[in-house]
Amino acid sequence: MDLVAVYPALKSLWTVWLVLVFALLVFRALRPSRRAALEIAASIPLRDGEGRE
Amino acid sequence: MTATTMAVGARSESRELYLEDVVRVSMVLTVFWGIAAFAVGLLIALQLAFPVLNFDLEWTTFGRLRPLHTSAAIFAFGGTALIGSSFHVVQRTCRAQLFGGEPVAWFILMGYQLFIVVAATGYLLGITQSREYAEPEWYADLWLTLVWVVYLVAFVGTLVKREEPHIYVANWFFLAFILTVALLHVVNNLAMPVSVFGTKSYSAFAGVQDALTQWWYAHNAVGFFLTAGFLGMMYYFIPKAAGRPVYSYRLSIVHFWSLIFLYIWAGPHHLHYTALPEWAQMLGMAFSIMLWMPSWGGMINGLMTLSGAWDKLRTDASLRFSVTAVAFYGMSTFEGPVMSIRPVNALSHYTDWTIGHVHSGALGWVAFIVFGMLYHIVPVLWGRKDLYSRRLAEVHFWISTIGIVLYITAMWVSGIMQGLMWRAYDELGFLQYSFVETVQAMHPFYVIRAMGGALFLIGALVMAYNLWRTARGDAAPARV
Amino acid sequence: MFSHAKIETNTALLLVLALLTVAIGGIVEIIPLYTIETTIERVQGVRPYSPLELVGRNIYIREGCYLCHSQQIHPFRDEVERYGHYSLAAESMYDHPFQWGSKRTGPDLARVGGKYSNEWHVAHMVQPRSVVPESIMPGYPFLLDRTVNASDIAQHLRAVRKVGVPYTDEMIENARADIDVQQNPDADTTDFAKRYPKAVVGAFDGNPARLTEMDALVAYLQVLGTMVDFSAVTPQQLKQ
Repeated sequence: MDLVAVYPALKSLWTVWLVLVFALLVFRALRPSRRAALEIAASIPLRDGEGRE
Repeated sequence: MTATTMAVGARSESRELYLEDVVRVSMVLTVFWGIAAFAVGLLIALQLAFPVLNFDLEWTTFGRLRPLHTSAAIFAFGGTALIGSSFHVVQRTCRAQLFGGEPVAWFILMGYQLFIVVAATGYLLGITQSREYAEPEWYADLWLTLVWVVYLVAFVGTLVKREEPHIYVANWFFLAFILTVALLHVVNNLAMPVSVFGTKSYSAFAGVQDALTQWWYAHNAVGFFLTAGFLGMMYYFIPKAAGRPVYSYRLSIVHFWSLIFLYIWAGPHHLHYTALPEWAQMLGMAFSIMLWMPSWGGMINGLMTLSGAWDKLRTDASLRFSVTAVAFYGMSTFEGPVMSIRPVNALSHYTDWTIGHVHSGALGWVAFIVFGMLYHIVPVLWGRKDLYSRRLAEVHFWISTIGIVLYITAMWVSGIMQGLMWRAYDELGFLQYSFVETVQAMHPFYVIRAMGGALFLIGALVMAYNLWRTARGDAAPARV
Repeated sequence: MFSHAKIETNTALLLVLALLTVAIGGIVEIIPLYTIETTIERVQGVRPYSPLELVGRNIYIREGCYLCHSQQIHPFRDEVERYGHYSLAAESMYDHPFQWGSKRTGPDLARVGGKYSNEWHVAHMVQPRSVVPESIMPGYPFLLDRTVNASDIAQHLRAVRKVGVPYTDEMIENARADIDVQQNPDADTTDFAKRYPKAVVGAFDGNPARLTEMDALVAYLQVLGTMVDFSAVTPQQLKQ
């Protein structure tokens, strides 16, 4: 298939593809999920027990 | 040297576990290379304002000092800070000693310093591959490849033998940084030496393919060396200084994968309207614009970690520098996608606007996040309760911030003016300005830029003094 | 459903997935540049550098000229009017490495060949402000008194041939001799001209008896942008 010929179609598809990917990401990011596991992971630096706190 | 036990200050027994001497030395080297890079930067800025400062000697001309400045700032200052802080962070967040222990750690740090010295002295003698941010010649590249592979093995080894089941987000970024820089370095430096005993080599690629390979490398040197690596620093040192977990761990998952996927594609925005085929330019622009989202995702994650701890900004120098760094990161990564839009790039390409963008990222984000890290790590590593003087840290903050603002605004004005003057037509339809008239118009802004750079250097010297007194454990005079 | 926790607790998986993720962009953008033949325009005239031009180019690289001078004219009306025909990919196809540059502190040099006399270049190199008072370019007086030691020029040509530049055996054998021929106006240049069409011959630094780095650098500058004859070029050839 000749890339140069199909290039204009690809260019127009790009916007649709971008919105799709963005919507998927936002959905996956905001979905309620394993909150507890993430909280534990997020507090790792605070648990190594030294430094000035 | 065995893993030394700190005798001074209140230390928990886990202190014996971590390698700290190598991190301490890397921090001293970071401050040294920072000041060296800023000083050379100031010199070459002055050379552009007052060309007599080139002294007409081959070792002091701008052409040979500019790679010295960029390599000192990115690889010496940034690189040593990354190696040191990645050792510090990976050991603590994995609760395990660095894989390979003292000998491997010292080999990585000192091997890297050897690479810096070999490259820097080479530049002054005119030894360069003329590939921006990859100027060291083939023998220095081979040595760095060896040191970097050992660095990757040590880092991954530490992750494998970690006590903490979960790999903390900062380590993802450090891992992506080490891994991708290895890939970029090897591919971009493929070259044919003239002779094994000579320094000169010819690059494996040529023309348009070489151009894209170089800028695929150079943009991702920014993307992974100056962004992903320092985001790893941010994800550890901001929660540490703020005393609060990162704002949204889930957002950092999205931020990580989208950033490292998108960044790679953005190289062609350095080649807009050149002989690079249009399909590649379009891809570069499209992905550079998409890059704005993960970048700001990182900024939001960093800044919002302060929710509930904003008052600490008033007292904690480390936090103030880190938060300002993230703010500059947001600004610079918004300016980038704007400049990658082809019509905008038609104006900004080859002008000082690019230099303004680079330094809003380099001074504002990279240097400031390193300063934030230093103000936190030096008291911790030397077992001191607090900085020698918070007021001096504040003095450093304001001098350097004003320095950055002077630098960036001078370059914005001179860059956009030069771009407009190049394309200006007079009413008779002729080009309005000869090229040298635009060079002449730059002079006042080059002077302002040099002043901004001078302030930044002074600020760094104030920091060096403050950190030195902190490490020595001197108590600050009562009035602070 | 696939959960990220698996990656967060598995070093190998994190390593492999990160490597794959970063590899995609590079592959999709760089490999097609080699496979799509229309990437390089089908124009005639671009030839490997003559030995003296190559020595001059290495000095151009050594002194970091690419840090202030670009060699890439954009297809804009003002740039084409100021500098000449916009640069083609073909014109740098033998440039190892490319010298497109990223900053125009000084003017673009892609078509500087033949615009200024050799004497102007020599005066400008020694003291830029003597010919261009407002210039901020450093002076390079030492180029005049540094003789070129081109004893290993044949090795250079062989190295460049290994990375794809079509130097013939004949070119490599005569490499050292061609250097002297090119900077000596009254030498016999017929064979030399056959090997390197449209190469500029002349006493670049004004003194044919001495072979200086100035000779080499000016020889390189004088050939920049002169190889392709644009009068014979059709738009079809330029389509990428």
